[in-house]
Amino acid sequence: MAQQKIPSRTPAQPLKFVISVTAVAATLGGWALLASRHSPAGAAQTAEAVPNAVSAAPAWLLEPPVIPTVQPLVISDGQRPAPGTAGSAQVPGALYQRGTPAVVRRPAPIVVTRSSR
Amino acid sequence: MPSIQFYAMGCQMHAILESTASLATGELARVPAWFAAWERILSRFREDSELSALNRRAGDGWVQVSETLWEVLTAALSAARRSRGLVTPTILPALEGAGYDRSFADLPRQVSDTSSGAAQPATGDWQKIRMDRRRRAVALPPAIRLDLGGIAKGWAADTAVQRLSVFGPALVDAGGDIAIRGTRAGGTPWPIGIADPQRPDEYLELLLLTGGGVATSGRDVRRWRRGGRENHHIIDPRNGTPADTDVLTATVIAPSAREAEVGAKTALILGSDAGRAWLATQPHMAGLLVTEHGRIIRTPDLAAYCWHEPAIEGVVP
Repeated sequence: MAQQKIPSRTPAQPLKFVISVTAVAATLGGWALLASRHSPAGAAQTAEAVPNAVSAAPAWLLEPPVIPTVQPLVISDGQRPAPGTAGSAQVPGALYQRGTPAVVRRPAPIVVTRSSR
Repeated sequence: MPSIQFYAMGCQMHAILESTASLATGELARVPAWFAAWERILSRFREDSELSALNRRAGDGWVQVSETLWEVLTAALSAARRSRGLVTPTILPALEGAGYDRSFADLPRQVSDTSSGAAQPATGDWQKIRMDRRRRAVALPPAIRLDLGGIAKGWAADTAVQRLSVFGPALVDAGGDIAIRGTRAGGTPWPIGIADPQRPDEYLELLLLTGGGVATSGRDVRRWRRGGRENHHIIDPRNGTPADTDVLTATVIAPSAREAEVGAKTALILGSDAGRAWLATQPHMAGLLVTEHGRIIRTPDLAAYCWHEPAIEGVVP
């Protein structure tokens, strides 16, 4: 099927040319500006530069935190659970206290129902 | 925990009583004598039993019976009524016709075929038995003879556990028909395994029961060959022959051992589909069926009686 060509009603060709040239110029200019600010030579110069002055850290930064973030758990030997005794820990809030209680172990059957023999 | 094991009614029996009082252990020691006395009354294999005497007098009118025979026969007729004749005591001629004419221990595994005629249905025969409560008398119609095997074991388990429970929590296992009364020390239930018929040393479920009964009926053990065909001891009264069923074993939990026995036998005779549907209409029963192809069918409420692996606590999603 033959395509039908739509006739142009405005002189778009010069306008397109101006837009394209402007866009290419702006892109190239931006690249040049960025390259001048972050070139490897510039970076090396920054790393090797000697600071003119060192300011002291503020006092609040050197003080210990007001609210403890991690409190070490102190457990005496009398309280420490023996290995394999899940559910017997005495330390409140300790994670191992939430183990499976010993009473829910599968019991052995006392008798078995089967057809007469 | 005091317990006693003995052989009676053609089965291994086991009684357990959770009490160490001297009176309790004395009562436990009497359990084998109870079973021996009941066997002398209720066995169809003994010529001198009261049941055999009653069977010989079929068609002779009223016969006064002992309290034990009266109770078990009443339970058997109640079972027949509730199972619509599927579990009936009137199957003795059919059992003998299938070759089961002596105790299973004495029965050869290959029985010669000496049958004299076609098997006769026995579904409605039980309705012809007359009972006179006031005189405690029974009248069997001519040609009707009774077998009380399964129901007698369930009744014996229930009766024994009732007597023992006066002294403490008790369990009586009458050859797989088990009666329980009372929670164990510490309020814990009795753990009871359901044997796997295809792997007898393993069990399919672990029941935790505090009362009632559980029984298993099966064609996995008591079977023999006759005339080139395999027979078993569960008779379908609708045709008077060993039940043609796809169920290998049926286990039922019920309020008593005798009800569990009736439920298990009914489900086995009906087969897996009809048996499961029938159990679903019995609100006081839960069951597990094992088919000959190894399929395991559980009623929905069985899980309430089974031990489950506990969920691990302390894991917060």
